[in-house]
Amino acid sequence: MIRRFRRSARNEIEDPTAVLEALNVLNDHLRRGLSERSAMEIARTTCELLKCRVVAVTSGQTFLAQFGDEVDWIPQVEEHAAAVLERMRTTKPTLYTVSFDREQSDVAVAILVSDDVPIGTIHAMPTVGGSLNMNALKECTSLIGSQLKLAEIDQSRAYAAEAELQALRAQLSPHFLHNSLTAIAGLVISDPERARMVITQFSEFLRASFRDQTDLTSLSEELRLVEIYLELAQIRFGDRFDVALNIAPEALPVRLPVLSVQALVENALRHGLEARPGRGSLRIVAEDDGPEVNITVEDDGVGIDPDRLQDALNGSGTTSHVGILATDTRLRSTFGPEYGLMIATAADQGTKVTMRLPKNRPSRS
Amino acid sequence: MIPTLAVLFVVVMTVALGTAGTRYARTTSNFFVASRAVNPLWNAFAVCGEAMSAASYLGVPALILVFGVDMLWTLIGWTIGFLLLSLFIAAPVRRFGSYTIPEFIEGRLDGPELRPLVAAAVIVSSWFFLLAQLKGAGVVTRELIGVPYWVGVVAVGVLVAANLSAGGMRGITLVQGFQFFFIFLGILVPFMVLGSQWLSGDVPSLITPDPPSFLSSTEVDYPNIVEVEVFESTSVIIRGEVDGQLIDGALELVSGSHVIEAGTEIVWPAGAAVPFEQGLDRLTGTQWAAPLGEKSLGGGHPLYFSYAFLLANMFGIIALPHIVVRFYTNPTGRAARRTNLWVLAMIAPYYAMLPLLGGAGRLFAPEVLGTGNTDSATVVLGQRIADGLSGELVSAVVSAGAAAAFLSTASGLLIAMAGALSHDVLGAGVPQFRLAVWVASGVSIAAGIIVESVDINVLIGWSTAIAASSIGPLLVLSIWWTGFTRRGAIATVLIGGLTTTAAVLTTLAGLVDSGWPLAILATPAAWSVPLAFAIGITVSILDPNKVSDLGHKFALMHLPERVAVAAPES
Repeated sequence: MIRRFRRSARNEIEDPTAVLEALNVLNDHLRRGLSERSAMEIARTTCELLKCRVVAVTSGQTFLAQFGDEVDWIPQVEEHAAAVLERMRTTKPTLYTVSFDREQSDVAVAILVSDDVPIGTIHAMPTVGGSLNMNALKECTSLIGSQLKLAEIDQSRAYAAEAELQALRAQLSPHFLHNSLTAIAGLVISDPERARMVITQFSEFLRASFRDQTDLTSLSEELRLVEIYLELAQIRFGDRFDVALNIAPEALPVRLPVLSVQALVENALRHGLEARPGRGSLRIVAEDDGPEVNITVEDDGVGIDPDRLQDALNGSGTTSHVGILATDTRLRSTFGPEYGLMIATAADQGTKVTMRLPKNRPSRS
Repeated sequence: MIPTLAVLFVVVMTVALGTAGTRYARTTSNFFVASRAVNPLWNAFAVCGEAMSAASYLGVPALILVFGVDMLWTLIGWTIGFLLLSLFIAAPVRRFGSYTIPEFIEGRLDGPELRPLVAAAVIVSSWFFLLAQLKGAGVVTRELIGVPYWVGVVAVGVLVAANLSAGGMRGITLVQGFQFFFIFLGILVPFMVLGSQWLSGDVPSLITPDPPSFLSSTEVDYPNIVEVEVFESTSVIIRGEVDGQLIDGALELVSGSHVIEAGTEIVWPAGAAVPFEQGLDRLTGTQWAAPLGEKSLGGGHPLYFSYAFLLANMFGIIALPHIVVRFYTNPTGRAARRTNLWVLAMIAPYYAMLPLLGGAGRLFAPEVLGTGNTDSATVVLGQRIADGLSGELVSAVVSAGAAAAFLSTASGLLIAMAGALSHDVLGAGVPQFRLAVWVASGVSIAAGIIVESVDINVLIGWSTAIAASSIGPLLVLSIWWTGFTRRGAIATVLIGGLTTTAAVLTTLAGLVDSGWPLAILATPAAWSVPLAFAIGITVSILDPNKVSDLGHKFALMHLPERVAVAAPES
């Protein structure tokens, strides 16, 4: 939450050049999406353009930033933001009254709309005795909204490119490649026989990862790859976690994208168990459920902060959980949008990722 | 009391094993152990649990009891069906990697438009089969606890649907394997008891020149209104209503036709000739034991009937969706064949024991010929063949077996129907599957109550006839003929399925009642199976649009898995 308060005299904007300049500066900030920083710029520009006493910006109903006189009104801003977003009938600004420090004032509130979706609100309080140009506030809000939409398009384009890159790069993380090779290098001297075996397994694993990413494999083959992965990981990781498997035999023939269970296991190791003090455990469960199979990968590691995970799944924010995201995308594109991953996690409470798979192949129509 | 407890035990075990089913997969840290597939033998137990239904358990002894040895064609047809399944169907379908028949056909013929069509054929034929199971449920609960027929139908329909929609059929292999043992025991025990009685010479001969008569004084309940033919004047004790008169006491029933109201009890004296329901042939022991002859089968054409019946049962078995689905659990085509070999080894003795029950029913429970309720023969026989505690125990084993038979098959059918309905019609997903389960079972319960007066085997006959003339030829032609095309497939399913369904509905509506028209419409398989094959082949030959990628598809279906099949160049 950023609050910056003006000390100097009011910075009046009179001529059009100044207005355009101010908007240009704002645009640059908006191209990065709605954040505390860009909210601060929105508040500042709006305040200066409309000559307000104070302007506040919310994302949803959460207060992000304000600019202008120091006014103790944040709870009231949030409350009214929630109320207008709930009603959401018009993009025209509406008025409400706030009271603070034995004072009362009208406040105009407008909804920020990006791509027809309301994403936040702008609250403007006129100067004492002054009035507000409601039309100007409306235009200002819609301008900001369209800039935010552009920002969203940019971001999804970047994400698509990244996903494509991920797909091309197969499922292997460079991290894993490096660790495996280092581990093998160590074994070559101490235990050449085992090194030979590990190299064979490693190459089998590599071959699987070079397969077409839309390729399907059976759960029994996938489990074989997971086993190799775990053996390779354990050389480096040491014997720091236990593995428990609970596989219903009816689930074994089910088809799934190659290396998708492995991606979940890798995620559990890298983001759950590696950072955990002491001994951890990893559990892979496959259940038969009539026309479907449920596969669960569960660890008792450090867990993922649910907010960050939510951001990652929504495509905003950056994440190191590319494995999970890529798997989610592959499952949805193979079996349909209802077959995404289900993730249950909390900080320090481990992570449980479940995928549902249909036994019936999707129709190719 | 003991029989009711035995049935409850089967029900509770089914739900409990299904709910805790995943524990069948023990927790281990050993990948090799964890990914061990279902043993073909165990899977065979499950297939048997699925295949031994109320149709064979209750229906076949009843059929043999009434119509005699001609009905052995049912069992012979089914056995041949399993052999065909083993030789020609199970392994290729498994290797193709398909879970259901609509999916297999779509993949083999590249026709997404085929999927709803095949799904519809699957749903219709499964539906008649499910009605037969619910009918069995109604009959068994009525015989056991004396509640009205519809109570059993509703209870079992709701129980199975609730169990499925709550995810209670996890580890279905274990549940159905368990049910198999009860079903098998339920037939084996009366077979042994009867066998020992026969060896000790206590059993009178069945093959006599006389029609059946009561061995001892017998009290008979008439759960439904029925019109019977009494062949000689008999002194009976009646509690209830006969020919519109309320009677409580002794009466001389003169020979001729009588209407017995529902809820009536009649005690028939030993040695009296058994009254027959109107319309049933009154066969002597000799006639009963000889095939063909003067029987009213197939509208008086028993030879035609035999062929039609055999064809329907053979091709019906390979096309029944809930059986084919079970082979998915096998890891390879070879394992699927092994499973089926075990199935044959277990189902053949089961089928061999059923006729004895039918024959024994004619001796010990002949009254079912006159109650309009022949499907209760197995259960009534179970109550008759021993006295005292051992009698209770035999009856308990038989009732538990019957419950296992209709529960396992009803669950399997409901899964197959709801799977087709949700996946190919409503859209995939768990909520859609649950909805489909309730829709399918709701419709079946309603219809199951209506078919109270229709024999189980008539329902099964229709189900197998429809399956045999649509899905049967479709499977055989797609697996074994490279020239089969999409249009050929559509023609096969439409012509075969629709003509058979129309024939069945005409019979159901009672539009024909005798002679060749009845034979042709009531048992259509003799013409509809060849017709479906002929139409499919002709249309495919005329069709200029051949299916692509044939080499790859046939290699996938027919080569063992260890021969790597390269993906087609695309």
